[in-house]
Amino acid sequence: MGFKDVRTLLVDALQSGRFQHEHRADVSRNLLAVGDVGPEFVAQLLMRCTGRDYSCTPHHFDERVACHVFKPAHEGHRWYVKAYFLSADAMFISVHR
Amino acid sequence: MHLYKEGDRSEAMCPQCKRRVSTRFAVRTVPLEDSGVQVPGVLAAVCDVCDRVVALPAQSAPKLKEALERKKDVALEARIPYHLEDVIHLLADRFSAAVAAFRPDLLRFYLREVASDPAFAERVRELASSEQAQAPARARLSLRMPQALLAEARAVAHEAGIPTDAELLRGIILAAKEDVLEGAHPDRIARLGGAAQAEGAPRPALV
Repeated sequence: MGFKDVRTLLVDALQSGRFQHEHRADVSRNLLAVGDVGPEFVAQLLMRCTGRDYSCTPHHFDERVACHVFKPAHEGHRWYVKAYFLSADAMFISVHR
Repeated sequence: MHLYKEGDRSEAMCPQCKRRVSTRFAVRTVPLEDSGVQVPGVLAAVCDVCDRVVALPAQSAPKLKEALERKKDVALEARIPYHLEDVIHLLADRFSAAVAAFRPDLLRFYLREVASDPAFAERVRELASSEQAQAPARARLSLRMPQALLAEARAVAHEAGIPTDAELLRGIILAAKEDVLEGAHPDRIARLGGAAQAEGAPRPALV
């Protein structure tokens, strides 16, 4: 899957509500999980990205699972969005500035 | 919008098991550790192997948000004359609402009105210094509210010449008396009736 395919799948997940969040102690690193930003906003962030804002790394627990990292710029801030897919769902790890 | 249900199954990466695991959705108390908040009654994805909460569905975000915002609530405490406490009871009775539930709604409602309308704040200042507001202040009033609301209301109140929370509350209660008990403001009566209904009072009659 390339950048545009991943982005399309993530935006679809955000729009349909088929996504989850990894539970982490530092909740401030996932602003989507605690409702500080909404799925529409994150979808807009993703749509601002070009291929240069995207990278892909293997998940450290399972190398067969690809983690997708987007670093869009928005209103003078660089955002960091990290997610992967399991089964039919997107799983967000990080959404923060 | 997709909704996950208790008993649904999914998958996640478990930090305890350090591998991909199957999960089931169950209702748990979720700790938000860096804020010290424990959120009860949250639907969460639980690891089938170690029983740890490993993921949270999209739909849980508003519940977590509310818990984090509640933590930021601040207390407003003041003493008011007993006859103004009676006014609060009369207002609750007017809407057939329980006082304990309606009191914070009423006061937050009027604090928002102060924060949004400098002209209303002027009226509150006049009422707070009126003869009706004067008596020994021995009834304790305490409520919690979002920090932002209290800060905004205080700022507008200070601008209007209301120096203390106690005076602000005295003026607000007398404004509510005029608006509701004396029928001076049908729009506020209707909106407060909605708030009372949300607290279990009967549907307000049309004014």
